[in-house]
Amino acid sequence: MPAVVKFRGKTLEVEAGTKVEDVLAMMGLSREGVIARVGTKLVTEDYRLRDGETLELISAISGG
Amino acid sequence: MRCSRCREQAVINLRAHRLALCEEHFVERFLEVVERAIRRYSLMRRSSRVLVAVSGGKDSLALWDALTELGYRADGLYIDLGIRRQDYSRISREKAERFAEQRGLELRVFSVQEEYGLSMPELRRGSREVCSVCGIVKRHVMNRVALEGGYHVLATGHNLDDEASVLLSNLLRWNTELAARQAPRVEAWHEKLRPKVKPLCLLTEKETATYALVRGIDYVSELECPFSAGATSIALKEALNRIEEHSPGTKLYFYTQFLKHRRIFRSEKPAKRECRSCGFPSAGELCSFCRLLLKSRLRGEKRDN
Repeated sequence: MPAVVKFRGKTLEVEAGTKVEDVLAMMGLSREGVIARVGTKLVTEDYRLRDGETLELISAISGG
Repeated sequence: MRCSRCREQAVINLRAHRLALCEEHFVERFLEVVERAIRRYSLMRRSSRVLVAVSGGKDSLALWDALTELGYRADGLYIDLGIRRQDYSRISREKAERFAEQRGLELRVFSVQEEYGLSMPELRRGSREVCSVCGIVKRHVMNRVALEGGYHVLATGHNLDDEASVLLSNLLRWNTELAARQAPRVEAWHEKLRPKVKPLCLLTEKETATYALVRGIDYVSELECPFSAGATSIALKEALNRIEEHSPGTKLYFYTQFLKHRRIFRSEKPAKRECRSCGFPSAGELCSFCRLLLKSRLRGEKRDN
């Protein structure tokens, strides 16, 4: 079963075992600009996603 | 990744400091850095009455939370700009009110529409520079509430990314006048003004967002100000994050070294005049806020006729 990634209303599937930093690279996101959360826990970029887990990427950048 | 202090699961990797931290030690360090900024730049005294400008976003609520945790006497000010698009003002106001209520803190709410009869969208009529119009309105209201409420300092949630991106913007344009005025504590140049301080200036935007999430602060996260779409500040922040990705610590070095050398930039001291309409300090006969009010009312009348 793949893992699910959610970012700004969009959803994509990645293989279980994929690291958060690989997801960020795939999406062209800087690790400085987003926070990664799995369930209720914040995780660092070396975290490997497990089967069926949902990774939520939260933007840290605001402007104006 | 494990916490560098206790070997528990880390929630953040601070590459600029070669430090990974768990929830508990991250919060502990966050508060230490806020206190360090307050002392290093003489931002306020322990006895100061502080007015925190809160928008309902992560930075200002994290600041209010941190100052309260550190034992400072801090009240909040929410400026309701009357932005109806995406229900922005209503939602952000509710976040600020709920935060204050849950912690038993005092929040002052100032409605621009109720006070001046014009909302932010009406005030920016015909102006392309919406963020600068917003800045003029907020500065005026903050000064007024701080003075009338007897506060000693005004605190804003500007973080390292905000400060570094403003610095980059000023330098890209060689706006040395603005660069000279950029500081963690902006002194009051008139008795009716209060010093403005930025206690989060040594912490990145990612750190303030992480602090807000770890502390369970319910902030406006899904919504951005509808007028800030495509804002230059976001592009500058993203550019700085690309550099940071390659060379961790660059943002902090860029900003703190600037503070050491900022005296090479000079700015003219504003003349101590007072606006003939509102009585607040002004560079001209009318302050920029009263000029804006006048223009917007005139444009509104023209449109109605």
